[in-house]
Amino acid sequence: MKKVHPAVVGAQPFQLADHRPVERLFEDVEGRDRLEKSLSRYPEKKGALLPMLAYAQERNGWVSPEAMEEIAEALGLSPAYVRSVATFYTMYAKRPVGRYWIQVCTCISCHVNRGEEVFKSFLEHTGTRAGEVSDDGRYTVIEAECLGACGFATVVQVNDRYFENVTPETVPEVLEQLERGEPEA
Amino acid sequence: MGFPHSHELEVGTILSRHFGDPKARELETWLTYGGYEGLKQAVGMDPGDITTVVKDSGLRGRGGAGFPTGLKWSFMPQEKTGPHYLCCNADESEPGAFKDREILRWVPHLLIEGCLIAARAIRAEHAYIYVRGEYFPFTSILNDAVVEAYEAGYIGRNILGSGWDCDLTVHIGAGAYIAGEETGLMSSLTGGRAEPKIKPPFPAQSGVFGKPTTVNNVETLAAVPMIVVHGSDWYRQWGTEKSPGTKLWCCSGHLVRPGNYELELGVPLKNVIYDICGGAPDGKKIKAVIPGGSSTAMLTADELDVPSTYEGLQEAGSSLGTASPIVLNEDTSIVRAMRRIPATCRPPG
Repeated sequence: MKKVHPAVVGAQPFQLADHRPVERLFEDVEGRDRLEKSLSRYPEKKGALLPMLAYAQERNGWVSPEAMEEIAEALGLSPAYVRSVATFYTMYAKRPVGRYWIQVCTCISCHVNRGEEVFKSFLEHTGTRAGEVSDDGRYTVIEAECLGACGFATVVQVNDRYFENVTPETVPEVLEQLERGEPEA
Repeated sequence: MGFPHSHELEVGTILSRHFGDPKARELETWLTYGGYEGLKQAVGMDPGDITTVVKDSGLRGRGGAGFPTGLKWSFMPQEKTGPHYLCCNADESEPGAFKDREILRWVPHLLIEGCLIAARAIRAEHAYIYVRGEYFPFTSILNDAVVEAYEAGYIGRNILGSGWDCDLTVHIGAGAYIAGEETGLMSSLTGGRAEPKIKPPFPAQSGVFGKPTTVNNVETLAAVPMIVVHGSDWYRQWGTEKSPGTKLWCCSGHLVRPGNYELELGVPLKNVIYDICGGAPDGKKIKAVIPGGSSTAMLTADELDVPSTYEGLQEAGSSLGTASPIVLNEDTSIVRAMRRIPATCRPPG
């Protein structure tokens, strides 16, 4: 079990290539530990909602309706409320996504640095359509809102990693790096 | 200094001096750079006196609105009837801005120190740092620093043996532009949709969990330790009467040397774009500049000879915002470029 300090328990990377799926989130030692530590950081149980949605995705790769129900029960909220919150945020996957969730920034600074061409290049090289999981389950490519790295356009986020100064021509290199599991330069 | 480029016109205070130096993330090294000296002073100070120093320095909120920081702190109740909270806004969602990420990435202990000093000034027992979800690599750096600071007694119970307790929690969002707005941020922090609320009530009356709260930007809080250490007059050696100090710039778009630069407030915008960032690449002319991030009014190339202060850009019909100029060259379709901004704020599928 990964040991996590209570101060940062709600700030763990939750978009990952590899998952450790569980049927019930809070029935193992790790799940209970995360829940208890999160609850200890907020004066109301509801404060732990975003950390627990993130934890569900960290474990399972997405936030399933069953996970939402379990979180609702643990925090004393209605499943409908939990769903209303989960659906507000774009990074919680409400259905399974590819192993590599590729988010290409096409906002203004990336737009003027060929962001849309980079996006198209990812679609071509992965053989997918926007937002769909590739046939081999490896890729999902979407356009993202500004990723906050505008001086390094075009910016691409893949799971918990940033790739910067990406051009349509360097897209194959990014995909190769992902497959080799190498850290970015 | 700036990252990834630097320039002789830069000031280079503790805010940016260690950008690019991974050792600065480690507490042991950070202490040799003067880290936590401001906190050591602040724990022995009366909260009101901390607020006075920051008020006198003229520091203005670096999240875009430019509201005087010390004045904001003074709105918090002077007598406590329940918990107070500090929220550090590290959501950085304004297209064009990428300075908070560099602070998280290179000098996380500076931010932690700023949060603790501010928490003491507003009599808060808990500080939350709300980081946008996308920033995983930088959040992980911050997380390591927070754990290190807890273990060394800079956060938690009886901080530096002063008898003062303050907790700090890192909380991450999950993709929502609007969580950068302070009432949206507070909704999100308390387990809700990041929908903004109409004020009043103001956060100082009823904020996070219905308690008095102050929300400050990352760069604002990171400027606080040096002000406490060196004093308000020292900070006022830079900038103008109404816009004192230094500012981290985020320069992007069509530029030869895009990136972050720490500059004295008041440097003409023209110099930032042409001298410091080298103008547009490939000998192209510049058509327009959005000076302060995507929500500020665009200026044409012949309107750039203005001092980059809050008042200077206001007179020019725009705003300093987060000092995040987005530069567009002569080949750019302004219509297409502008359409990207609302388009990417719309959630996918």
